[in-house]
Amino acid sequence: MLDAVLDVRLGRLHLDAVTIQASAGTTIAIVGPNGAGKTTVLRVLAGLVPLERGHVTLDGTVLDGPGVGAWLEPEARPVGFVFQDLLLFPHLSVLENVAFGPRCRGVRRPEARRRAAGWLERLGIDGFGVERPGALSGGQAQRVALARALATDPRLLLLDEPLSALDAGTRPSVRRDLARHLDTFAGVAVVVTHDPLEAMALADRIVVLEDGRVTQVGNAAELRERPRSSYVAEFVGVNLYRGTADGDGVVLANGARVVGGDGSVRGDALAVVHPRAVALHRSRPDGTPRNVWAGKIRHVDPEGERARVHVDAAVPVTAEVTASSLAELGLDEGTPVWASVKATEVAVFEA
Amino acid sequence: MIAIVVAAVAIAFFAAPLVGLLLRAPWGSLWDELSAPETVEALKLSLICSLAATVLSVVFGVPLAWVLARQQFPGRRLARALVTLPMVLPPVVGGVALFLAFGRRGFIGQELDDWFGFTLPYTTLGVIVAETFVAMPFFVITVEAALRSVDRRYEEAATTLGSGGITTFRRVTLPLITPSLVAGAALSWARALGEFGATITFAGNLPGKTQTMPLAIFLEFENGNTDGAIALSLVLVLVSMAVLVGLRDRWLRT
Repeated sequence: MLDAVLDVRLGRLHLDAVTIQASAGTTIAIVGPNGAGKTTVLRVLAGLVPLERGHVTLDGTVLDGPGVGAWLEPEARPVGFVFQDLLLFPHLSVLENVAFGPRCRGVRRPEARRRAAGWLERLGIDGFGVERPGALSGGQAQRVALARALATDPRLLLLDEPLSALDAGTRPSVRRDLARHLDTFAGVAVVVTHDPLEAMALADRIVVLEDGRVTQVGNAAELRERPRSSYVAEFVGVNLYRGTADGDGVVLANGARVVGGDGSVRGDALAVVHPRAVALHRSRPDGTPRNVWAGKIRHVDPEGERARVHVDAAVPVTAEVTASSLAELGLDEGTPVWASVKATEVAVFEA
Repeated sequence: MIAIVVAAVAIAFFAAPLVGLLLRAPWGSLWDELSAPETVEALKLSLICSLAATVLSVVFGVPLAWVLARQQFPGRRLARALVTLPMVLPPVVGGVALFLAFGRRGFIGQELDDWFGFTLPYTTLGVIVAETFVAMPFFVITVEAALRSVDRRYEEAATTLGSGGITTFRRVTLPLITPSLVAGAALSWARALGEFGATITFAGNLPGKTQTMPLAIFLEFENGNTDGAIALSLVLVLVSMAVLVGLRDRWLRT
């Protein structure tokens, strides 16, 4: 159980009562624009930056509490950190990198090596133990960094943009593996990312951080339905569907199909549709859109010149329409509508 | 064009002494000159003293460089200036100053003498002290620069893995700056090996006790034994060359 309220100033950045709460076994994603303070949140949790006010409490232990004079040195915290640039020690072998944490925590060398080898095996990179980190590919290095962080059996795992160093080709498979490891991780995991897709794929709950403040907390569906800032609407408020890709789109658990993608993805997949790509009609649309879903408007969120319309259908969808077309079509809660999306507007990713 | 000519003159100026040394070298009797007992003694003394000075420079220099690079304290700039001073101070002045501090009547030397019956001037230990005085700054400056430029994030990574300050320094920081440690040690060793002014002023010129190679070269030269001076000089040239070649990646990179 992580319970943190973070208040600290660093140069122009001010983390203003940033509250993060998570129970063991869950993964929290922190998303937000560049410079919002996402990395600083992780650094405070790890103890690399001390708090000015607030507290960090993990499983009932106060790690940092300036109000009560509590402070646990970073090296004494049960925290694992996967850095954005990984920071594998270049002068140590892969095995020694992973064994470094256990060694520092008093485990004898043979035992530390045995544990390290076990972690490398679990992450599918055994056989690279004797290599220097410089000899690894991006995906392998990322797995080593994760193994190194997990090898100390942390109760809080912090990941800073864990996939950003990877090229687009290896990202899906590493993301899938990472999601699997986070699912089995017994403690609290906090992932910083600026990629909403990554956040939704990895996390149970998303904390949106903008300019040092939490602007919204919720799961992907809640953020999509009630985006409280333009950032959330733009970057997090996309329609996201989890299902099975069969080459002609993604089949959801209820059997409904989202057609699109380039057909290259098979198996577990995510389909992404931007609300602006969704058109609404009062009658069944003519023409060629390959996705047409009949449904009923559940809720309308006016947002200045535009409005977000949430439609209950076999494929539940959020559409973003202009205020004028809202009025023109007479869209209101309960109105039956057809939503259409061109197949070319659907992006399909490996999940 | 003019610049090239001037540059050529300057290069010739640096090359000429070396050429002179090689032209006049007594190649035939080189081995005899070098295996003379006094010469072997000077060589041995030089090696022992310069290596001891290098070890002292490393033992004291690493913590000193760390303090200068990483600690904020009042007078840090003054401390760094003090450490750097021997690099620009005429060595003979350094020798006089050492004498005034550590000599038998010096304000520290007197105490040493009174308490331990222990004198530095005109002893082998005095040579080591003089050589350390002039050599250590080279090590400290090199290592301090490395400690400033090393990527501190690796140290943070070590910290999050449970590594305390000293373990991090030993297992992460020092390995990361190994090239600079080696370069600094080599530079200070070369400087100690060639030390003349401070040594002769502070420790005198006693064969077998304080007469190191440079002192022996000077003495041979003064006494008209040019061949002996050249033979010994060639040894030091060789050593200097070896250090240069060893450090070429760091200092001769273009």
